[in-house]
Amino acid sequence: MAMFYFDVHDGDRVLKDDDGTDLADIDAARAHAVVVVQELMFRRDGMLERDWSEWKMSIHDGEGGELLRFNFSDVSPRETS
Amino acid sequence: MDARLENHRDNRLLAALAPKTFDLMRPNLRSISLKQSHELYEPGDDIDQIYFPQSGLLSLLIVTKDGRFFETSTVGRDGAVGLQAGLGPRCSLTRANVQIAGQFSVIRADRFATIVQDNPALRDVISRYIELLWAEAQQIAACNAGHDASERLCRWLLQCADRIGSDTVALTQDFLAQMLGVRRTTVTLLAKSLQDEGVIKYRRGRIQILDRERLKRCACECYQVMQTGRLYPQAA
Repeated sequence: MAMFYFDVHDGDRVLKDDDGTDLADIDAARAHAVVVVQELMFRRDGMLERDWSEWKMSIHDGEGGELLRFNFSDVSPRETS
Repeated sequence: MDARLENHRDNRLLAALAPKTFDLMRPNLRSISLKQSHELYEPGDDIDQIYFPQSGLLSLLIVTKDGRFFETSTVGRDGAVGLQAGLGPRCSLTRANVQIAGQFSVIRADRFATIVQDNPALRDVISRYIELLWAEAQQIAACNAGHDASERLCRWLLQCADRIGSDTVALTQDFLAQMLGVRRTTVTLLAKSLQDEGVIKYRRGRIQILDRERLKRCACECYQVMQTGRLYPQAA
């Protein structure tokens, strides 16, 4: 198990995940990240009148090194686990 | 007016009762404080007591086989849990527990049922409150199916604040995530976003509403529907 941190950003704004989540490995972290993005985007009309399509998910380890990054727009709502 | 009487009347259902009805209730009411996570009933348990929050928040939950739980209703100082036992012995269909610690008026179910028996107005309060819970459960079912996590989080924070009568809500993000049926990371990121916008302020286990009007705009329409749908009892 290891701690993974799931920050999201759109170039302008960053929402940092200060808490992190304890997960088995990078595959589990990727699966977690996909579900989080799906949960954020679900209705696709965004929150605070914002469109999520320009946002990116960035998975970090505890030391701040980036392990994986993908675009919200690459996640399909149908991919639900 | 003595302090104990005042406390019971902090609950709006009790406050709405006609003086004559309240006088029948009062000798049977006790004021107790309950901590967060205290369990009132499990599904199938006999409803032995009725709980009227003076402060704090109770919640009704459906527990799934894999140990997760989902909100069906939250009850604050404008409601009660277990009221249906006034109509006769009843089992709880949900888990009921304390979500936010507080002070509660309680009455034994059998004594309450005896008072209700000879009091058609009190019976009417109960049936209208059950209608209200039913309407809310339907609204929440639609909300969970059709609205996104952000809208539901905002709706939930507003309702919580209304029902405890405070803009500071003592709830962990873990708990919010469970109630909304999303990952805690999702709640963390949404809370962060609302905080950046100046709508809320949060620290561990505590969320403070700073801009209620904006929070309302961020919430789904379910908040307004459930607000206007409140069926406050007439004096019984």
